[in-house]
Amino acid sequence: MNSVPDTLEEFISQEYQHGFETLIDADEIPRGLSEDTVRLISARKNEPDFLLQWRLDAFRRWLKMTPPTWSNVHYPPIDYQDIIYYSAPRSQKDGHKSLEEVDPELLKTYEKLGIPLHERAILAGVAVDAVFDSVSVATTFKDKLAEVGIIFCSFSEAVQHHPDLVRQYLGTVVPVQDNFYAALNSAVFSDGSFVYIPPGVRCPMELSTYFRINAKNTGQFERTLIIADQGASVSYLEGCTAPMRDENQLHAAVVELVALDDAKIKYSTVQNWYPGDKEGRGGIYNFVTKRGDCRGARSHISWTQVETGSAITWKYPSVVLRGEESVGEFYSVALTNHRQQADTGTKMIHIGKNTRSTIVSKGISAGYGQQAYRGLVRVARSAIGARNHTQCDSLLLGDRCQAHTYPYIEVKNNSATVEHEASTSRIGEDQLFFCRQRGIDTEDAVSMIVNGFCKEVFKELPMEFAVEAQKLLGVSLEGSVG
Amino acid sequence: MLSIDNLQASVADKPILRGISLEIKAGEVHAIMGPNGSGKSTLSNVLAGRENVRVTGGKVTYRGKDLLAMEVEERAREGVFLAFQYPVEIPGVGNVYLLKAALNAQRKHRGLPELDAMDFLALVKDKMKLMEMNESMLYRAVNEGFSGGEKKRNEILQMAVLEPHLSILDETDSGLDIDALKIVANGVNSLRSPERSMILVTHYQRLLDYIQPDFVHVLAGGRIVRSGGPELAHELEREGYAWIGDAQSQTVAAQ
Amino acid sequence: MNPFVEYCQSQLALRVAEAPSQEASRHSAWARFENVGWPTTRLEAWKYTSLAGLEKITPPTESFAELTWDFLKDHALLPDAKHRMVFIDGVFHEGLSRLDRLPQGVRIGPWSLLQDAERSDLVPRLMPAQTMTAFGALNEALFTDGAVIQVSGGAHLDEPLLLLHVTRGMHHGVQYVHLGENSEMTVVEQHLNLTDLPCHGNFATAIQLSPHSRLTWIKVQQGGAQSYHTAAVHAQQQQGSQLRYFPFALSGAMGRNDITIRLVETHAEVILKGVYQVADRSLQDFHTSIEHDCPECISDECFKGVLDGTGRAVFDGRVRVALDAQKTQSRQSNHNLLLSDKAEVDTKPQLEIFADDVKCSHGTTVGQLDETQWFYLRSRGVDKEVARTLLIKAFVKEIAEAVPHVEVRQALLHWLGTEEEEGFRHV
Repeated sequence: MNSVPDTLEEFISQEYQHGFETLIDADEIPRGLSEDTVRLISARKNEPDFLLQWRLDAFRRWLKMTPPTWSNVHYPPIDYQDIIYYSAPRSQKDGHKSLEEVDPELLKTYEKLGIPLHERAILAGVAVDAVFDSVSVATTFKDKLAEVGIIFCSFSEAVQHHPDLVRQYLGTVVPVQDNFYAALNSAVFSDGSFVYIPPGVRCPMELSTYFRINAKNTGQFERTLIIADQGASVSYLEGCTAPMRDENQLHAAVVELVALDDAKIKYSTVQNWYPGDKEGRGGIYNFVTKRGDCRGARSHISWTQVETGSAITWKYPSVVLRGEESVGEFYSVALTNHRQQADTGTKMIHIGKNTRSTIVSKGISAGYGQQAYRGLVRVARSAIGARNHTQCDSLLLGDRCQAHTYPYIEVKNNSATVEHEASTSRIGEDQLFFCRQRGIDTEDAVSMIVNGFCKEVFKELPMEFAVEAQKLLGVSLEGSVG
Repeated sequence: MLSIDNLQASVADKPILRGISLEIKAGEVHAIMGPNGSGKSTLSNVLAGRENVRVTGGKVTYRGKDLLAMEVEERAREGVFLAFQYPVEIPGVGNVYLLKAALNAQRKHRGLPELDAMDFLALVKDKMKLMEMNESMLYRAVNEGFSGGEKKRNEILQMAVLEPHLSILDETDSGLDIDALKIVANGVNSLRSPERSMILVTHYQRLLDYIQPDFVHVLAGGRIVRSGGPELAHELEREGYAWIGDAQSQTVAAQ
Repeated sequence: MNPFVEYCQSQLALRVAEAPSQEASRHSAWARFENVGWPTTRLEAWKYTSLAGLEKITPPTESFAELTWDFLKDHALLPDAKHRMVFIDGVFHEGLSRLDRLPQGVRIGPWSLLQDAERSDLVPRLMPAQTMTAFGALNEALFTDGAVIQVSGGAHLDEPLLLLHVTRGMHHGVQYVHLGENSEMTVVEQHLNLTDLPCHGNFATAIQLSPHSRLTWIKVQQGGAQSYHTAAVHAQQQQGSQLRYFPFALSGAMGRNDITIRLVETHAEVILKGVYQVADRSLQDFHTSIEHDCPECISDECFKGVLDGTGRAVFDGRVRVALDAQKTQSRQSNHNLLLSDKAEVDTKPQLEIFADDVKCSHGTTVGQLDETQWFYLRSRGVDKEVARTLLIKAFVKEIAEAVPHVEVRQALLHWLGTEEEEGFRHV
């Protein structure tokens, strides 16, 4: 797009920027899913028997489950036998040792994506775990973090080197039978990130994982487990992209967070999976289960997400507020343009005394995009003095988009205070005309209005991410109003 | 009338009042001044019986009785009135209803017959004239949608109707323009009598230009650091509260 | 099959025998009910409302004393209503009713006195209300009688109509209202049990508002310790029509109201404001759906709940703005006061928006009495308990105050115990 667009109609049509494909020799297992597939994945990864049994248990439960139908998203049935469940760059063995061993093609890919894996040329102070299709290809700053006792590595490595920690925490936040996609993930997950912050340690840098789906017909099923021990704190970032392809690809991840007494975990996501083209062809199905467990007293878990990608987003990052005086937060900006669909929100489950939660959800719907906020605030009888405040706003651009709000509020305790507010408004041609008449072009006017709308969420993001998120919104919105 | 002896109190486990002693005789008007955060409002609240203030030590005797042992409404019926710094809005409860319920609760407590609607309205309308309030405000919900000035006038109206023995005016002057301030002061002055005492809690001298106090006390760090006559207020107006820092450290040193 | 459904089935043959002309529609409705099945908490619409209590009941075998108006009027919201229809156990009671002073253009009468042809004409018009839930299907299969109200264009019912339903067994009733262009009326629908024995009333109400007609409808639901009430209301509003619907669910073991309002032409307006009160072992459930099918309509919805003891309440409010329903204005709010640590509320305000030029908002709160307000009242000498009651009443008063009809409003305020200061206005 070379010239500055004049109207909302012209605004928005830049192509997805991360849609290139990396040509690389991959080690793939045959399509299809059976117990053998599960055994094969586990064997490739040289896993201990407890993990294989855990996967098989999940698989058997999954066979009896059906995909959820309650969400407001529509897609043809997925053929789970037509997916490749494991694909790894051939050169890449599990447990990569140094950057020198990483395939230069891969390094180039990440450089192109703006994710430097050379520790010297870095986004200052960010440690990265890069996941390419099914495996982690590099983790930076590992040694430096190890000095303070922090474990930051790929999930596969954690299984090899810290099996006790994995065994202690895996599946304790999101049980294998939690839902259809979580069960599938538990059976076939290939890699992901593992973080353990020891008692009293404040993680000295931002940790991040960068997920890239590259291979065709593959699904990505990563698993992230973050444990902040007593008094520990960590800020974690997650980014995602995929090539442009005409067929849909499945991403069914599980993220589990555990915060013990006085621990704090801040988890930020900028999700920019390929959203499909204007007509809705292709794109990622992003069916993700993310949940945090405030297990300890005064623990704090905060989810911040900027969702601009994926053909379909189905995710509800949640917090179980078990510890007394624990705090859960959810800040979200979700944008749907063209034919994108999103059903997203959060669950705040108040169990402990004086627990507090805050939900700020900003939905932007453009083109034919459809979007639903679905949230649950549950205050158990035991949650004396619990408080929740929910603010849930939708901004509409264009007269063919949809915005829905489905909050569930369940209160069993009379000392609780729960407030929910929601509003829906639009950016109109008249507002834009006004701005242009004052000399502000459409692009700036829209981004001004949108950024103002999202400000409450952006301020929760780490600095570098906030800038990226703002840019991303600008790009994703182009062509959004017709 | 009121005798405060070494009163100590905390809010959310934080000590705010650190030993206040004060003697107020019938007919006297005492002004309590001090910088923000000195404990002025806490003192008002503790006297009215606010539950979030915890008394940690000391005694308060009001007309021979232990004030601190009384419930909030009991104090009110015994004639203690607090004019709130931030009067509370109560949607759905009529102003006139509150006034009547309050007055009759007090009369009943004192063994007097309840007023009927006619006598009551005559009384209230009379007091409203004094406060230059529009009668329509009677039929609105308590303080709902009232401007800042209207709320403060409504507080003084309640005070005029209830005719308390001890009135505590918590920052009644804050947020008032000069005309409203004069009306409020006029209302307060009309209630001055040898049987009634008042405590004026204020940050500024301004209110004291219209309501002359007999005594002025300066509160800082939860203690009374100085007491004097009306001239002390003028001194504060001229010199501000900066000197208090020294005074405080002297007090501490003296102890 | 549970005892409740068994009893219902036994009634089907009786209803068919009474009016053979409706055999087909009653049988097909029963088939529809069987197809939908008995609602369980596995269904989203019944997630929080268990019918375990209702399932078990069968009608009492006691015979009840003949009711007189002298007795009933002490319980009626409008004891002096100029126009009234009284239904006892599902059947119109001519002797207790008074319909002899209706103005011209207003036709009000019971279903049971209609000709076959008129009934066949009305059957499809009742349908929208009877297809909303499983209870709607039961209603169509089993209803015994009902109120049929038709107001012709420009006519105006001078005073409110009282519809008094006394249900002591298990009965199904219908209400049909059609307001012609630019006509106007106020209806007070009141449900009583006057017994603590098991009973269930199930009602379907279909409302059609022609252009620029104005209907105010107040519904008051009261019941004993084992009384169950289910009702479906379907209203369809044409251009510029106004509906003001005020349900008050005040007592009874369980109440479930499904209310759907469709704004099918421009400039239609609806005000939907209700109150639910629950105490020990009782539940009230409101499912409302306001459908903006057309541009430039206005909806304003507010429900307030007071929950005490082990009471439970459910509010599920949906506002749907269809594609092209531009310039829609919609407000929805739901406020709950939890007075006991055993009470429970489940609330789900939903917005579904398919148009972009709209102003929609919703808000929900769940909380206790405001401590500061309580303190303020007490600091003025008002007794602790009196202050508490006062604040509870003030909380629900807002809803009654929105009722436009003066006498009905006064009667409601009196009932809710919030009329104290009204007295002063007449001095």
